[in-house]
Amino acid sequence: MSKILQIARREYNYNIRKPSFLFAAFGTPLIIIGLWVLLFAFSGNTTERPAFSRVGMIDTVGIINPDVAVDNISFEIIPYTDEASASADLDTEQIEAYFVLPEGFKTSGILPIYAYKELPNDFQYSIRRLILANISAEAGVTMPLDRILNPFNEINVQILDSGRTVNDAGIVFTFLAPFFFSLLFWISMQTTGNFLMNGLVEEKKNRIIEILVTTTTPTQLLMGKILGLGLLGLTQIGLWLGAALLALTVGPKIEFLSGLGNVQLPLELITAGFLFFGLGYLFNAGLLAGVGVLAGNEQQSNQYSAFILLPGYLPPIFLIGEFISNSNGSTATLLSMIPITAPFSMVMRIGFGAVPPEQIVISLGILLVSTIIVSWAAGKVFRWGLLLYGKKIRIPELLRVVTSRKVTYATSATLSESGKGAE
Amino acid sequence: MQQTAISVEHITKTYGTFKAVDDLSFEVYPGEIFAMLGPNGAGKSTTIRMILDILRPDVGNISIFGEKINEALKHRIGYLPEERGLYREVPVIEVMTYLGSLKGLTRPEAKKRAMRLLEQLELGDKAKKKVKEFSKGMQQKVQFAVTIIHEPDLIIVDEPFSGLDPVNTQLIKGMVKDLKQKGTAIVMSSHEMFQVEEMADRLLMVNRGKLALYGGVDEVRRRYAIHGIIVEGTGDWSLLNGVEKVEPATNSRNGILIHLDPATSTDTILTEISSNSAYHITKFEQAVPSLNDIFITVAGERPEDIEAEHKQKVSANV
Repeated sequence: MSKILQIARREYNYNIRKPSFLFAAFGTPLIIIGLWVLLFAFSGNTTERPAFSRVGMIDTVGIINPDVAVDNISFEIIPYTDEASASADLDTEQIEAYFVLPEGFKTSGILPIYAYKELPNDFQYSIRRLILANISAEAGVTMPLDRILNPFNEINVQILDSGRTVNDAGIVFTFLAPFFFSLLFWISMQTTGNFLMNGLVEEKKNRIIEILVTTTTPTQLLMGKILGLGLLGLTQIGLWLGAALLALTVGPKIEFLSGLGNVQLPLELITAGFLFFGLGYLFNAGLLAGVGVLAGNEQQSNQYSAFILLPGYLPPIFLIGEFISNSNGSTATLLSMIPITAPFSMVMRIGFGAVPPEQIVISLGILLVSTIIVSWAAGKVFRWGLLLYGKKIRIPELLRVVTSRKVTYATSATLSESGKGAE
Repeated sequence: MQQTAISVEHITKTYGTFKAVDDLSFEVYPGEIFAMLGPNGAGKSTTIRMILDILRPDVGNISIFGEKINEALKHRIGYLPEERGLYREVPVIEVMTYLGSLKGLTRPEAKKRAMRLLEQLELGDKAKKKVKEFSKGMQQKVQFAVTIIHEPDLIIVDEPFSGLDPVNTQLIKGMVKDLKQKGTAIVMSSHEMFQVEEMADRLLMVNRGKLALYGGVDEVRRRYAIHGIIVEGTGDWSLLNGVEKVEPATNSRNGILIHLDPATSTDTILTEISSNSAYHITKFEQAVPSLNDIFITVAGERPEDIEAEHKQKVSANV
């Protein structure tokens, strides 16, 4: 056990200092926050314009009744009978603007406004309130003015199966959160998976593997690596979750991040994330170690890694519409049962809607059994390929190794002379 | 009866139809330097890998300190493989501490010993430098230090001096001799026989997987001793009385090896040369066969020819 821990410790300490890890761990949240700030910088460029105190009005159609009280109008309205006197007062700055309810306004809705300065932000809102209050008073409508302007303020959707509430402002965040949550887990899995493969390539390239195999067993080596890199992945996720929690706590207090107040990361989603991606990591680590041990160089190992990892997240990403519109549909259900795509798919489904518990259990079971099978097979290939350098490996050869009763280290000599290495 | 460090009994390893090791038996004892010699491809590395349990023999038994190899025994062995390397991007002290900890040392103890060894190897001031900043020779020294960091009872070093300059070769040889004094069993494998012949107590010569010669170095030398002299100088050496054969000496640049008949002593021939003005000598010494010469005698072929054949075979297979 102590050797496994020593190997795990070495893998953790070595890889945590790698620029690629630091970039993924700290760069990703920084980039997301940076994008948000940039978005705010561009969209929030609406500077507060000075309010008006006196605004002239020429009502040629008789809509405005001076007896109708209208609240929340930010300026005093001065009635005029003709445009010439309003214009003269505007020129002498007695008023700051004037508007005209012209002939045919009731059908055209055209409202000319005259001013020398930019209109204040709430100008149109005030005029709208004034006109609507007078029209509804004339029609005898008793509904509060705020309801006529905006019939409903907020939608609260109760997802009855899961007991969660999704409100109007947070609906985008609510659907994006599980997706990004899955994506971050996946990025972490991919980062650590690549470290595993590249580490093996490095150890073989440097020939340090020759010393390692006389000091440890292949199982200890493999388990140590998987454990150390798994902890590294957890560190990465921990950092991201920490950043997310910080954003969710502090964000709503900042105007442009107020939408974050509506984001929900329910406990069941986080639990499912750790369970599915934890098993998914072990499943992929087995595959990556089994194949990575045979890679001749880093380029080859990255190709192998992409070949193994891409199928896990491309289908759920391309079919995200299916997941949002029908998270319990046949496509989403099928993808969440296939071991390779299960982590990404099931966690998204759980985030988007209510998944029948028995499906979660079945998916976890399939993933667990597959992980055990993959680890067993990968262990054989790992032992067999640990001392092979720059040898092209063929699939039938691998199948023979996996189905062999007893596997020992193969070397270039054993292969070149006999094509064997396993009995 | 003294306990063996290694006991190899009739091991055979076959790759397909090729016998890499063929019925090999030998023993290594604590406190001795044991040379495993033979050209490249003779089966030395395969034998070492079987001793270390990397490969399993098809037939035969191997025991280490009287036991079958197991995890605990691995901590008593230090191995310097022929193909070796270190983590390049990591400070030397960290690499040594890590590998020491895998050999059963605690991390503080591994670090302490690593520092002591680096100082012994005149690399103490470079402990925090990354491996990639070290020259090949320095890396070689670090690798040797890693091999002995856990103070093993058995050291197996494959081609220990390849890549080392003469000064560092002497430094490592000195450390090996110190370990021998402390009772460590040392197996040195080399295809360059001259590198280890001066240090070894006993030897095993392997050719084409088979045992060619096995025994004490002095005893082997005596067994294959030449009754003759090596001279450098001028004159027709074949005309001297008591000369059987004259040929160029293989382990001397300009020397001539003169084989004497059994009745002629070294003193007699020296007297004859010095009293005859037709001869002039600049060097005169007793002919002692090198291990290379002995190998040729035993195997009936030159190591370099066997190596060339092996190289051709390997490149054809890759």
